[in-house]
Amino acid sequence: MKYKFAVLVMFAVLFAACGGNNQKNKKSVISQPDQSAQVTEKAATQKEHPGKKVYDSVCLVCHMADGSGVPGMHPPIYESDFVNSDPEQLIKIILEGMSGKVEVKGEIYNSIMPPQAHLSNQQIADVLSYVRSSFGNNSGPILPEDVQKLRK
Amino acid sequence: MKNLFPAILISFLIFSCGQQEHKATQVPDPDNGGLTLPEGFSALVVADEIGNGRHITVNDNGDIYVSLRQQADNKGIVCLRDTAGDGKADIVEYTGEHTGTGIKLHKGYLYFGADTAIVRYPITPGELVPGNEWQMIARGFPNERQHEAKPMAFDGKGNMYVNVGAPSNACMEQSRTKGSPGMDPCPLLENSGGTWKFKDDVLNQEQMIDGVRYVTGIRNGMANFWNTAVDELYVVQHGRDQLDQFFPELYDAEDNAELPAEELFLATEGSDFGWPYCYYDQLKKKKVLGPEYGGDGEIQGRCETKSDPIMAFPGHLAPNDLLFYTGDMFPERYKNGAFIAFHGSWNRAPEPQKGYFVVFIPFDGSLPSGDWEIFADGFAGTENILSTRDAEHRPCGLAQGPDGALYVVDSIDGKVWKIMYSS
Ligand code: HEC
Repeated sequence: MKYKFAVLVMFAVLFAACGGNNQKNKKSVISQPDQSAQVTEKAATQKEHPGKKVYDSVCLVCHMADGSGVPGMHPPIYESDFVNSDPEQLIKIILEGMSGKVEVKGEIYNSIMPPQAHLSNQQIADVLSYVRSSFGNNSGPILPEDVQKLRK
Repeated sequence: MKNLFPAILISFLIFSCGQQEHKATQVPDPDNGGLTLPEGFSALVVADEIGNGRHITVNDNGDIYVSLRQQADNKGIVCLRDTAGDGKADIVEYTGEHTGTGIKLHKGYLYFGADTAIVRYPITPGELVPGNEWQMIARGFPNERQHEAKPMAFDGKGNMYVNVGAPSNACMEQSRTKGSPGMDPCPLLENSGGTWKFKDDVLNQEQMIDGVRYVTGIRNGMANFWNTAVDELYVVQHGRDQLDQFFPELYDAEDNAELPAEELFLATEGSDFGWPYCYYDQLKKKKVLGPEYGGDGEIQGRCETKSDPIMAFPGHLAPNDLLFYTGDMFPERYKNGAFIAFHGSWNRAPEPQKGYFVVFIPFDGSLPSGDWEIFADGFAGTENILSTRDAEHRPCGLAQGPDGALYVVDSIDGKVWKIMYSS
């Protein structure tokens, strides 16, 4: 009985080890080529989004150049439910920071995002408008007045 | 029959894979599980897709336990057993209600570093899955949202050493905020930013009552290990982040990618390694005053008296586990040398990320006898990593098997490799 099981296991192992190289290529975060194509296209037709400068100097360090974040540490903001929904919540994260448990794309984050209230209303509006129209997000712009309304 | 059976199966395996004959008793994967290793070393994949693996420990009978950061199957510990003798786990069980990082077999228990406590689960000899009736060993640790991992080391003399990372970058008044000054003295050092010593076998110890601060000035030292060859504790520190972001007048992105060093410490009792006031500049080969405390990247000030590392690595590589090798399988030069699992960087952006590898450092007595070298690489599955998530796997934990093989666990989906040597 035990041997039967062992034989089965060995066969399974054999198949796994020798039965072809079906390399799984599961990590399809955001297709990089697509993104760069998009960027060059954009660069050719219009000048850089003013929010990109803010993103690159403030947010990129944690959320990465492609918005993919850092596993277990900084959540991804590409194709993001959060980014594409309520603008108020989004502005509040920037003004007040964020901490506590959140689940993003099936992964749990329990970390701290420091407030970025030192940014001007214009900079916050720019960076959020940029994020809402990049990384596979597809939502309208945020205005400096929207930010001012939520400042305490 | 009983003795012949594995031999028949192994020869069958070798035969049907059309592989060259290998002297190792277990057959490595044809691609070494994607790893690149030094001459004579090979690897096989023990298990894959078991969860967000953190640390790993192996029992004398070969049973393997992996801690998880996030529950899988509503459990935080994965138990692996190989009944076929081919090195691959054919039994995978989940157990335990805690999640966390530290995991070590000690005195017939599975000690577990849940992020705010050290607990232990009883092991019944011969049984893979530990019992559910866990006991509280040490508690009262600060509730942290960064650097909360609680790996532990045992000295074999009745003591347990626990990393208590500081929930902070450089003890700024406002966490990771440009222009916010460093607190002086840094109050976080009272209950974090160092290693605490406990009894290894006493229940319900409180950090601030029963625990003793053994060494201090370590931002986060989740790679810790008691080296029995010299009877000393060693710790590898995650250095601070974001120098260029908070002090653009002193550092550019390229400086920040390299600085400060990740530091390997010989953690003799009472040492102070300088965090948050100081960091080690591996290019200038000295501890310098941090910019939050008036440093300009040059002056040393109070850092002159802080203990230096015994080895320094490029910035942000994230040393997540440490192991001194005591096995007989690897060549002589590996004996009593150190392996470090680097998790790989995030704070090198916008420069390319790096450091998703396991390094080796030869030792002579208590100090390194040569420079560090990359031992196992290829975890990331790609060369050019701009975003941390581009890495397919990230080495996070290390363990030595009873046969002297080295086990490595990955944090992305818990792939476990067994690295072997045959001359
Ligand atoms: C120091 C690192 C850091 C920086 C800098 C940072 N973030 Fe974050 N961000 C985080 C962390 C960590 C979280 C999750 C906090 C938690 O676990 O509760 C987060 C959460 C978010 C979320 C919510 C994601 C979700 O789905 O819940 C958004 C949106 C976001 N950040 C956007 C930004 C933008 C825009 C910037 C730049 C202005 C920025 N972040 C700068 C670390 C950072």
